[in-house]
Amino acid sequence: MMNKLTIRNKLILTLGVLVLFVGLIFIISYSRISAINQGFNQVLDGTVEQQRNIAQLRYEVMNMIRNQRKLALSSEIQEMNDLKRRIDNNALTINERIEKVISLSSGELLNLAQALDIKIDDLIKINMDIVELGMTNSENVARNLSTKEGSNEFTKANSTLTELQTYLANNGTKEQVLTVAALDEQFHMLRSLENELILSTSPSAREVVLKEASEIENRFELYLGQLNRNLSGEGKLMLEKYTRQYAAYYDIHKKAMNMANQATNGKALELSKGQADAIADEINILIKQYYDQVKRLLENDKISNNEKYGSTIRSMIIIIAVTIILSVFMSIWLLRGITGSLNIATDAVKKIAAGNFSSDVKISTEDEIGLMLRELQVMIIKLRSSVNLAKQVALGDLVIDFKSIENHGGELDEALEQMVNNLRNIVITITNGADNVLAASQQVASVSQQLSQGSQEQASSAEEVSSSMEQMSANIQQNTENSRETEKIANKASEDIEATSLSVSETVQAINNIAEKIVIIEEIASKTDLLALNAAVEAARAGEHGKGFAVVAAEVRKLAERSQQAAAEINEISSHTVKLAEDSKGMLIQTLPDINRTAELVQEVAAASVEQNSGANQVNRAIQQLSQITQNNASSSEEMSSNAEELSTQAEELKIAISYFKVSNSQSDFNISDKKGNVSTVNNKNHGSKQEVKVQGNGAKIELDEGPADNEFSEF
Amino acid sequence: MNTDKKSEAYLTFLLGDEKFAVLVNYVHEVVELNNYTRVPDAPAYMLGIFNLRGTILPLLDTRIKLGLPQKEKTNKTRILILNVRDKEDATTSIGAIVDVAREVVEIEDENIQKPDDIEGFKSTTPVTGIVNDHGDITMIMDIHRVFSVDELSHMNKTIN
Repeated sequence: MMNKLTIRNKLILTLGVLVLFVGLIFIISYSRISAINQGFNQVLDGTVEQQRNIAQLRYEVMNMIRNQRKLALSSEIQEMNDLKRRIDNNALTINERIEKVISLSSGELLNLAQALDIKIDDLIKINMDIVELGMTNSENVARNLSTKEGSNEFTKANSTLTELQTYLANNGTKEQVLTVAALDEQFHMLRSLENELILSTSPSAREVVLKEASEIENRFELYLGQLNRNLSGEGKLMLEKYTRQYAAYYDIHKKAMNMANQATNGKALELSKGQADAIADEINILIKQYYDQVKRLLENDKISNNEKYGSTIRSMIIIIAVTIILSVFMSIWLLRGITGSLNIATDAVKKIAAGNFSSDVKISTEDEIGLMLRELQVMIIKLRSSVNLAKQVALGDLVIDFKSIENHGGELDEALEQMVNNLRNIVITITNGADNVLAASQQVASVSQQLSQGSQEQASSAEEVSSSMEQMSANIQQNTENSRETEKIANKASEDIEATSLSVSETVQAINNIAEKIVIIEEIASKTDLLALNAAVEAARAGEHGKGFAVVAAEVRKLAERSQQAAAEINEISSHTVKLAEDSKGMLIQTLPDINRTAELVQEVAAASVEQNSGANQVNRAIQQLSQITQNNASSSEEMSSNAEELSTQAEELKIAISYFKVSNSQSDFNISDKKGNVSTVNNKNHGSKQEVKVQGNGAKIELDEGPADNEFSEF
Repeated sequence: MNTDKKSEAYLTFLLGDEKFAVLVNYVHEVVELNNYTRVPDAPAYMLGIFNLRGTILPLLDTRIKLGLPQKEKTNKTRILILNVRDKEDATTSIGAIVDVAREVVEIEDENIQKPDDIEGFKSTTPVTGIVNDHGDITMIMDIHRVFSVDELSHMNKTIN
């Protein structure tokens, strides 16, 4: 399906995907960044306000506790009122803050804030008690009572008692004095207990003091009763006065004791130090928790923001990576699609360019290149059919029915068709030409071979002549010298011959004489031989009796034979000698003028020889040139011969080669010849007619040669 | 000269280079070739007639008779006067021309080789024996086979 996409669609798809991813990245990053921004706003708007409020809350709480303490410890009413007002303000502010904190808090923080609210309520409640207790200010009241009125009354009573003691010391008994001393002791102890109670802080100590005070009171009453009974008179009056004074003091003492026993300041302080502090601690703890919580929330926010940031980064990275990978893949896919198609197209085009149409183009895509490849494939099929045609032609088949071929058309096919037609005509022409060339070249070959042989012979003859001429030249020179020598010799010879001629004549005469005599001897010997033979015959016929004679006859005959032989030899020799001598003489005599003539001629010869020598040299040069030319001719004619043979073989080869082309189907020979410009038939006819003409020509020649002769003969 | 062995005397002569021998008993004498007279209508081998001390004898050319090629006559040419016997045992003399008349020799019979032993010889050959003396071959000729009596008698009639 992917392959069916066009490159345009692929590009659109790729760009679309990339735009989609960029949009996705924008949306995601926008949402994440706004979330982070929100978190920041939350921190700025919420957490900072919360912290500010809670810090103020804490500050107010601490302030309130401090004011409580001050109030608890304060004795000035105005100061206390001032403090109370401040504490009220504190409480008001605290309430405001806690409300604000509650309104700002949520979730865990709200729980904490509510818990804080409860605690703050408790604190305010205790605060009110503390304020009340503080405002009561019992210790200070008691002290004031004790130090001012109590002291006055105590001093009065004590002075009265001292008067009594003094009186009794003078007027009373010892017992009375001791009792008054004990009473005084008890009285002072009561007074000191009163101070002790006012100063005591813990309730247990106060209880101990109160118990002791009641015991002292009892003892005091006891001692007072004892005195009352024992005294009289003035003493008694003094005691009564003291009893009244004591009563006045006792009222104040009782009040002070009560006030002291109330110990509101201490309680307030205690409350403030105890419960209020505890609550304040709890509040602090809660605030701390709140802080921690806020901190934790901030941490969480930080973490979540970090996480968000991280995840945003991650998702961004992932998306970007995915985008990159996807874009890379898509680019690769796109590129591969394009380059793959282009490669296929390039391969196909290369193959076509290389002239290889055997393989089909693999159409894997349906994009623009695919369309191009499809067209290429069409082109290849077309070309292949043309190639097949060309192959057919290459195989020599020139008999192609172009009309029966599918997809026939186009310039190439028209050109092929024209080519085949032209080739057919050319092949036919060449075949005929080759035949003619073959015949001609064979003739040329034989002629040139003859010529070559002739030239070679000529060359060898010329060489021989040349060498002969050289020798001749040398001989001529020799002759020149010799002829001069000969001239001298001839002159000498002429003289000698004349002398010799005479000697020979004499010798011949002598020998002739000998010969005459020898003939006689020869005849005798012959006769003797015959006689001896006949004697032998006779002796043989005589038989035993003739044997002795036969021996003699045989011996005689042998002698005669030897004589005959010797005579014959002598005769022969002498006659031969005579003949020789006479011949010599005749020849010598004949020679004489010849020698003289020779001497003259030799002179001429010598002169001629010089000319001859130069002539011979010229001839020699000419012959050498001739020889060279002849040799050249020989080699040329040999070359020509070989060339002619070569031509002949080439003509045959040409014939064989050209026979490769099938010009016509054997069955449909006539059809084709009819169709295709009747070249073959015409040529064949021409060929035949040529031969005929040749034959006729020969005939005509013969007639021309012989005709007139015949006529002449007939005329004669 | 060994008398124990049987031997005959033969006259040897040459026809060309070949040496022949005839029994000396048939030889009357040897003479030089001088003049002779041609006879018309005679056989080719008959050269003519000649005069031997008053007797006319036919002159026969042995070469022609034996079918050998002709040869010029020289001063060595001789005529053998042969006595040929006819049926009635009467002798007729003829002159047979030979190239050279050599000598009279004694030939022992055992040295004569019969031509029947040698292949190729006709039964009518005139050579009746062959003597091989160390390669020097002498053919013994029967003159009666060469010169038949009928011819001779015819010739004699012609002459006479």
